[in-house]
Amino acid sequence: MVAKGEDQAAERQWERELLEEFADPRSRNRAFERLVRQYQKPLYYHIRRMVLDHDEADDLVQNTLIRCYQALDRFEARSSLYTWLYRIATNLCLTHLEKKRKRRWLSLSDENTLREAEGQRETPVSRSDSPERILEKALLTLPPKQRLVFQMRYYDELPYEQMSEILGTSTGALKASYHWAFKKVENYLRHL
Amino acid sequence: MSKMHMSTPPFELDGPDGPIKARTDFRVPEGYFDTLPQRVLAAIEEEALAKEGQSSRPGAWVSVWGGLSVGQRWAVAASVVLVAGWLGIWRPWSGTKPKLDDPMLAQLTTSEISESLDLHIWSTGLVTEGTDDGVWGEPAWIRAEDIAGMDSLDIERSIVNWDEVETAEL
Repeated sequence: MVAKGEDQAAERQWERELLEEFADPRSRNRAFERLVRQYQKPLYYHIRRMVLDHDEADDLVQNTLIRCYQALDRFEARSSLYTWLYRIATNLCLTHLEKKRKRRWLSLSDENTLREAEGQRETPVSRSDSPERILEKALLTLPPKQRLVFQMRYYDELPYEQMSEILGTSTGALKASYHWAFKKVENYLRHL
Repeated sequence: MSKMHMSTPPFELDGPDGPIKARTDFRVPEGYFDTLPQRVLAAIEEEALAKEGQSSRPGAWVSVWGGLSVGQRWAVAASVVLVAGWLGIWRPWSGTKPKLDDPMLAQLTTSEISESLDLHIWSTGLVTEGTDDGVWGEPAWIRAEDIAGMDSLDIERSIVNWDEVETAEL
């Protein structure tokens, strides 16, 4: 996440200034460009980890940012700007994956999805593969939302409160979901 | 993946080296992040122009109509009929009244007009059908020139000889 390591107060100050600049029609586009440059990479990689394919991730990133532009006037700063963007991106991803699943009649645990996304035929995962690759394939066996919870907690180290804001789910449910996801992945690794 | 075979996992998720890092070695086109802000702004502008174009087209009304439910459409249609009727544009229940705007007809009395219509019907033979049924005998249609000066009762009497009918039954 972009805000990692930054003082939260400084981050909020930066957001306030950005929103003021955005509110002025003369500086709106300049402010938005600053916002995009600040958050584009973490947004992109968050989405890319979900959908794996670059073109799909590109579409979703753009849609996320377009919606952000259209709704930023109404943003009330009850959460951080990045949390809000993350939430938009997450919802778009989940919707996209669900449509894709119905369209193709493929389970999202199908590793063919990963192979297609990478544009190359890959051999099945083995113990000699890198931990990053093995873990990524293990996560593909999880349902999309559970995979998302795992990624947000494990990779992004988001606090449960922030995850709750993003996903609209209680912290208790998120903790349980993460616990089960963790166990499933461990089981996957033991059977490798 | 065999469910029967279990071994030591190749690594620990929460091992001493910390969590496994997420993949960041995804292939991303060169310059992608450099150009993303401009591409997004261009897409926003394009979308704004497209929306402006849609709202100004007449087709917007078609899309409004299309957005109504069946019940709503009937309500709109009924309202239009009522308003049109109130404005006097169309009254389908009023029947058709011939407008006597002909200056010649305007000078005649109603009975004169009625007589002229009767004569017209008889002279064209429009009433010959269905009358030759033997009940009244062969009709003795009076020609137009024969009824000059006769009123309707006289015309009826000339058709049926009631005296002959009454005496025949006896």
